[in-house]
Amino acid sequence: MERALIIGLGFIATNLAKHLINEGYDVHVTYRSVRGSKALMVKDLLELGTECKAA
Amino acid sequence: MELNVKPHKLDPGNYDELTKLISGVKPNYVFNTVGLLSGSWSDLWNAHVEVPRNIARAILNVDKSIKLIHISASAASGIIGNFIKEEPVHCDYTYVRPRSDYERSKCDGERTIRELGNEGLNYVIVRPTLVYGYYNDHDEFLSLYRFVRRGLIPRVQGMVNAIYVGYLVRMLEKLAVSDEYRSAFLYATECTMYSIGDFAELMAQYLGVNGIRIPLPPRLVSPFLPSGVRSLIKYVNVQYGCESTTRVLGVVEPGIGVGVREMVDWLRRVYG
Repeated sequence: MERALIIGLGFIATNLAKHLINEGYDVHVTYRSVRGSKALMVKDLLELGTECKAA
Repeated sequence: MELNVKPHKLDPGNYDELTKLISGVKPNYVFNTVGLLSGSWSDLWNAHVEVPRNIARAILNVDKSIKLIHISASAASGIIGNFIKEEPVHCDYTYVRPRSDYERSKCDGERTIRELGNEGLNYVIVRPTLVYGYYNDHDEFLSLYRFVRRGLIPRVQGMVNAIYVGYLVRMLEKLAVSDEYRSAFLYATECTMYSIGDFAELMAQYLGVNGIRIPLPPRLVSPFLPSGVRSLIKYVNVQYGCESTTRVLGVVEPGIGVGVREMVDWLRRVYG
């Protein structure tokens, strides 16, 4: 499995992470804080990661 | 349970932490998405020059086969005419004119990466135009959303180049895996230019708002915008070449319909 490291958590990073997870990559994302809307971004990523791993 | 996505708390300004993470993860590709639209010169310099330099140096230290995809911005070259495409010599002052702190820091960051390319860094620099789609709550779209929610639909005149985030992320992946793209820089944009007013009009449509439409030239809107967005108003009616994007993705349909719907869904979820 190819691995991708995304530096920074935000609008583009979250979309990129979702795309790469769906394409079968092992994805790592860095963040400084998960306040405000970023908390929802992390929640979505973790949910998607769980679904993809279970599938 | 082991997931195929893993968040890591990290300050990308810290070279040692970054090196440790890259050594541990052993990625095939690193994507740098760190960026600021406004801030002091020091903030912009750190985000746009120091962070990519740290990432690039860490990659060189750990494993030169790791490819870096650096996301810059279309504004990195400054305004160099009404039609802008990749300059013949990357970020060379004969061809580019970055003037604002934002533009200069973006161009300096790109130059830093190119220089580390001489030490063996495998990189691609991507300069997206205005990016729209789900998860976008940047000031320009959040302000627009709030206006439209209140029944004020600004019909801002002028055209802009933009790219739907779904297209951008596909492009980023393709650039990462392709051996054809190495030590390269390119613009990422849809070929279609959009009227700024279309974004507000589509937001109103998706929100079911039938409010007051106010025709506005960009110079009248400018004072009411957040400072970072204000500095980009000068790019209205500037066109960017889409040839590189088409070469990577093929011909894409205009994404504004789906992209604005997604933004409305996201902004409603976060801000109500």
